[in-house]
Amino acid sequence: MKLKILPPTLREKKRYIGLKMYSEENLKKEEIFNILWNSIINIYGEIESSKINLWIIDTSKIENKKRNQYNIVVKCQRGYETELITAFNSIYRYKKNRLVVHTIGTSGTIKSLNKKYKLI
Amino acid sequence: MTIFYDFNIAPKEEIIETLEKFDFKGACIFYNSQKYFEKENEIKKSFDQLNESTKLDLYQGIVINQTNPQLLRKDVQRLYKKVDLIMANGGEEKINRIICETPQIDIINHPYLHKRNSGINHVLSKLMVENNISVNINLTEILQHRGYFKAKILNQINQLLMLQRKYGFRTILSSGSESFYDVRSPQSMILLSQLTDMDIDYAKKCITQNPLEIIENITIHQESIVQGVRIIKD
Repeated sequence: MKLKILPPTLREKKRYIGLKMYSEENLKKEEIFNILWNSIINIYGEIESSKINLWIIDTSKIENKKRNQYNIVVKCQRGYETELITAFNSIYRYKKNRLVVHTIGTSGTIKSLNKKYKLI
Repeated sequence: MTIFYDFNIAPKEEIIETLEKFDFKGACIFYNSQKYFEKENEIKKSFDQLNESTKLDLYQGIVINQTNPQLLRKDVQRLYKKVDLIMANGGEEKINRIICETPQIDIINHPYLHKRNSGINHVLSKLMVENNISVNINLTEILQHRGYFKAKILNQINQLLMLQRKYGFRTILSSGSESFYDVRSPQSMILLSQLTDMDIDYAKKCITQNPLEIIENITIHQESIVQGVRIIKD
C-alpha cells in the first residue's frame, strides 16, 4: 500500500534557486548533476551537504553564440541557500573544461521563479 | 547605492563587459612589468581604447614579479610616475620585507606563496600600516586549487586575517580574472570570502571602501614630489 502524503506542516521546507551555467564545452545532464553535487561535497563535506538536500529540478540548454549556456533550477532546504550558492560559486573547472555558475535568484515556488526570471 | 570595485583583472573586453553587467563601478587592469617595459606604447593605446569603450572607471596598474630586491626597487622607481597603481608579487621573506618598506607600492599580492605561514609577521604588518600598503586576496588563487592545496591557502589567508584584525592593515578582495569564467558578481565575491575567517561586513568593505581609499591615494601619489611633499592645485 502506498504511503499517505505528509501534511504540509511536517514536510521539509524548501527554496528554489535559479542558475545560469556557462561552459567551454558541451555538457550532458549527468555531468551537470555531478558538477553541482561534487562542488557541495568538496567544500562542505558529506554531513553538511546532506543537510542542504540538493535536488536538481530542471536543466535546459540555451542558445548562445559565444559559449554553452545552461539554465538550471535546483531545490534545497530552506536556510541553506547561502551555503549552496557559495558552493556553486566555487565551481572552477570540470575535467579541463572551464565553467562558471551565476546565480539568478531564489524563490519559494517554481512558478514565481519562472515569472521573475523565465528560466524553464 | 553601493559602489563595487574589482581590482586585478586582465585587459580583455569580455571581462569588462561582464563586470558592467554585474554593476561594478570600477576596475583596475594589471599588466606585467616586463611586458610593459617592452611594449609601453602599445599597452597605453590598448588601455585607452578599453577605457573609451566602457562606462567603468578603469585604472592602469602594473604587477612586478621580481625575486631580486634591488631590481624590484629599480622597477618601482621607473614605473612610479607612469601608472596609477603598483602591485608587487610577494613570496620570499626578503621580497615581502622590501615591499612592505616601499611606500610607492600600493598592493602586495600573495605574500604566502611557497611558505608554511602567511608570510607576514607583526613587524611587517606595522610597516604596511605605516606605508599605506594593502594586501590583495585573490579569489581565483583559492578556487583553482583543490583538496590539500586549497586547505593550505585558506589556512594561510586565515593567518593573514588574524594579523589584519590586530594591526588593521588594509585588505582587498579581487577576482583575479583572466577570462570570462573567472569573473564573479559582488555578491558571490562576498560569499566566497566566507570560506575564510573573514567577517561579512569586512568582506563588503574589501570590495567597496578599501579599494576607494587606494584610488584616493593615486592623486596623492601623482602630486607628490618627494616623500612628504606634494603640490596642491587650486
